[in-house]
Amino acid sequence: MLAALFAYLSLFAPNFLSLHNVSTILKGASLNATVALGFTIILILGQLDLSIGAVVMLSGMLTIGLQPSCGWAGGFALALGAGLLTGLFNGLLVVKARINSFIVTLGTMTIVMGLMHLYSDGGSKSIDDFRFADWLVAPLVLFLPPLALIPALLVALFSVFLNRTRWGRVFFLVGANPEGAWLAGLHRDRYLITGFCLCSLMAAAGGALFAASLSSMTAAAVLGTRTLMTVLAAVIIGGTLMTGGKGSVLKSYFAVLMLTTLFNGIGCYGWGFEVQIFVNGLILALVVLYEAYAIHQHELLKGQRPDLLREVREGTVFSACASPETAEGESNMQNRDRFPMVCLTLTALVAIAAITAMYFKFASLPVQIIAPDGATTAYRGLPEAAHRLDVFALRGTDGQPYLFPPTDDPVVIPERPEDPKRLPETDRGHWWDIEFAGWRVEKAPMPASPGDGPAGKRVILLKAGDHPYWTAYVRGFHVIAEAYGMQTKVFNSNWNVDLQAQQTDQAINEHPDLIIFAPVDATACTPLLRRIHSAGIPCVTSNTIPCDEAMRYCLAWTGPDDWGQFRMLARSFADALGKSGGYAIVRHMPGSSCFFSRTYAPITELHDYAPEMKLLAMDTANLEADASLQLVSAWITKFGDQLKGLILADDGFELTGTLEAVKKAGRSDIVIVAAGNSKTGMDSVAAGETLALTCQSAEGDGALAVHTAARWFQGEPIPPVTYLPKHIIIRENVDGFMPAQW
Amino acid sequence: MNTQTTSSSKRSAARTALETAGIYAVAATLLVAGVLASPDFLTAENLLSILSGVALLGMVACGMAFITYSGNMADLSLPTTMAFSGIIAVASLSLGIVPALLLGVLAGLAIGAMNGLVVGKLNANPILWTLAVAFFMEGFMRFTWSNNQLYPEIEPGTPGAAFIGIFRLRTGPVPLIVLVMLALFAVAHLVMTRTRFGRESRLVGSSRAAARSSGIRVSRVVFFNFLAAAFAASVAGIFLTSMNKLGVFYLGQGYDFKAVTAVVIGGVMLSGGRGHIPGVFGGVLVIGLLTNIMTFLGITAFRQNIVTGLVFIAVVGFQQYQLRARGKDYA
Repeated sequence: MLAALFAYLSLFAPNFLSLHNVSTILKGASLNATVALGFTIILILGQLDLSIGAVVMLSGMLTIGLQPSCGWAGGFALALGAGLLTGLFNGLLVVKARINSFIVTLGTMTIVMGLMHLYSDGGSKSIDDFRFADWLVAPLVLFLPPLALIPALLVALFSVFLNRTRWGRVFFLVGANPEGAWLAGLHRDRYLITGFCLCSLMAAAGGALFAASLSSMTAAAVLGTRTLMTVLAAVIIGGTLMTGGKGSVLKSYFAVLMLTTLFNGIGCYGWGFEVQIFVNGLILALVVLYEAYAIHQHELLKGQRPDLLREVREGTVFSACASPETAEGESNMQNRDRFPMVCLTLTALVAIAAITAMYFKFASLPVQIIAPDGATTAYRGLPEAAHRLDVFALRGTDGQPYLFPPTDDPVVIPERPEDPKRLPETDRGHWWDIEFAGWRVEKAPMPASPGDGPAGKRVILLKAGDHPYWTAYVRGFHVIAEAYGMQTKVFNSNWNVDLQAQQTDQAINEHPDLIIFAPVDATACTPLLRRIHSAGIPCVTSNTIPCDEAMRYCLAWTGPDDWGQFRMLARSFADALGKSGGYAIVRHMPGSSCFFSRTYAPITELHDYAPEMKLLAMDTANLEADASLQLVSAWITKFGDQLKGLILADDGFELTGTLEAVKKAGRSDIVIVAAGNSKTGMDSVAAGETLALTCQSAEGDGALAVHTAARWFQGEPIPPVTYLPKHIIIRENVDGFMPAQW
Repeated sequence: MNTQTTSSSKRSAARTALETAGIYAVAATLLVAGVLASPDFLTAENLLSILSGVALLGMVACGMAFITYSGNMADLSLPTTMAFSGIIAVASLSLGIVPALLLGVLAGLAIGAMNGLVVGKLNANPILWTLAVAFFMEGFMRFTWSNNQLYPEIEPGTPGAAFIGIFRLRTGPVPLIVLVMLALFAVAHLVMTRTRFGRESRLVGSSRAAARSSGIRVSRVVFFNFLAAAFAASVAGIFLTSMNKLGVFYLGQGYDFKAVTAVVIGGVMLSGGRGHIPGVFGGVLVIGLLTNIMTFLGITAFRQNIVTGLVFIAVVGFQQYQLRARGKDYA
């Protein structure tokens, strides 16, 4: 069976045209493969571990956080130690307190995630030493980098341990038949605790390896939850039973590889995340249904006369060692054994087809322009004329221009303080490195502009995730790209750094003329930008401003001036309140750059502009309306009349929940300002419930990135940082921004 | 015969009171802690705001309790059920407010029915099946509405405005959502204790095989359990959508694990067949009180996570210990 799988793998390898792709997939699968290894063991034991995603994040964070003081070895050791401790905690509670593992690990999931956020303060961590990360992704044996080899080695090791050693085989017995194991004189408890430790250890190893390969770690919880869900799905698709006693780390490994290959193929078609998750769900459903069907059939047959007769005829009843029922069970087991293989094979076939098709498609693709609505249609098919189109005349869905001609006002950048981190957090100097990232960076040598204009150039957009903002962003991106006659393709990483790393490799393999990169994380993108840079592909970053180190490897960054906007917003806020009174801040999601900019820009600005004002509280509500409602209600009760104003990091669900809380408490006197500008926010400004919003045009954001790329293709000099224009939306001017882009 | 029934029902009521006493003791402790934390804590407004803060969670937990109680552990597709019924309701608002709401609930029930059929009839693993459903429903919703948010009209007098108003309705000082949650809990309690379906669910949860042997149509019982959960989730989903003033695929995320937490903390055993609806209500209260008090004390979200996790494990551990001490099996 395994031989067949290897045959399959080697069969479709030539179709990749380059070994690059194989290593892309192997590298991309490394995190999930390592985590799946431990997860398979815990399922074999008949238990569940929901905390693996959180452990991945904690250990990654520890590895990066401790590397500067303890070195790689120390960082790894402590991260693995933390994983081991979590496993021990889980195991002891399951074994000694006899709590169901689902419950225990559900609890540890929240605890570990909380610890991780506490340790990282909700922000990413990164280091500037890339030697180890480079070693991890550079080919070591043939075309295989260590990042691909380590999980494979671990899998091989555990495969031998589980199947060829006495201790390993006990895991299966304990999982399948705990009483039997006990009767056989085995310490069930010890094996369970070992299992939990191994599971958490592997999750920690996966996280540490992942963080090391990026030299940074994100604090966004989505990485953890997606890892948990993908691994759970992959392990089940690999034929491991949730009831315990059956499973194979090797098959889990291949299942992870297959899923990664499949996603790779789907991405190659330019299909979005919706197709990935849909297909993932279908495959999982198919496997679960088949398992159920097999058991169902078995139940139906049980005790039936024709069945017994058939068995008597076949002579199984009289075979020396097996009773009819076990014989039946075994044949059923074999059936079920085969099915996951069939699934894997099918998945593989789909992936092969997708990837092959992609190569042919891309080789013969004509210059293709996506039809927009309105002004630019006339230029379709005339790329050479297109760049003469006046892009500044184009207007977006909100009636505002997509692009504004560059102004002559020089951007004033204040002097960098000696050591920003030593200043207090309320001092604007403390945040200098984040606020003015990219301005003083010495760029690495950049590829030279072809100088022949943007027409016909192939541009790949790696967008951060799905959100109505990003739908509008891509709209703006497409309109301007088409106006310039560029050919585009969009990858969507769904806020997952792991996925964005894979997609970066994938994008590089397609050799586009330029990549527009919207980072999921401001620091974790550094090694990805380095990879793009070393492949000789020019890159424009967009939206989230990367850290200084990352800015060295891209031509330029374009996007909203989040800090500047919130400084303006804070001043209108202070003016409305007469520069006095207490205020509170509802923060953005931890792990995002807005988590800091939209909190500390107003804090530092008000510290200087309105020193009388007092920050009463600040906390995140994870951008959920109900959580915001609860949070703000509690604040209103707690602070009473002291609370005069609220600053929100989002004008969507956070604003909805906040308005609800304010209305319920009858406190319409509270002044509210928020980051804009969605329909919800502008409706509430028009209704007079919200004082002011920042204006961040999503279409303009996408347009500016591709416009900057076009200028580079024409050989024009481009500044390292270009901000979108800054506006404050208030009741008097809100009509000019309607209808909302999203 | 008659006296026997009354005495047995009395005894069962007493047992319910005893077994749920623990979680209410925790809630009472929290109340005292709250009073100590702030003088403004024990006001009608604050208590009402705690209740309305957990109302949606309460509804979902109430539905999830049916799943857990009948031995199916958890329904991970409840968040997508919430999002789906909300989206469908918003999408069909042009038909008028009542048909829209009905269609929304029906859409949720459809998912529940599918889950119920597959898990009940085919014995599919409930967690894995519902995870798969959550995956492909998310993909389906993203695809159909191209990752966009769906806004209802907000002009006064339109069905859209009425839809948005649902969440904001109140009788006197009490919001409608709190009443709906209480009603759901009351009905669920009656169904669990007073109907044949409730008793059958208990047996199915305790032992599927025993239930089957005693002539209970297990697949039908499981089917209705999933239907009940989907119903509660779609009602909560419609309220959530009404609250957010828009329908989108990611509404309701996280409600699955939050609801399981409430259900389990309320004393319903994950292995099924043991627990009470009043206990679940107590669990929901504890979660609401805990969040509120921690916010009062100025404990930020990161630390709140840690405390909640520890309290969760401690409470459940204590329940298990009590059960074992009383000579009942461990679950």
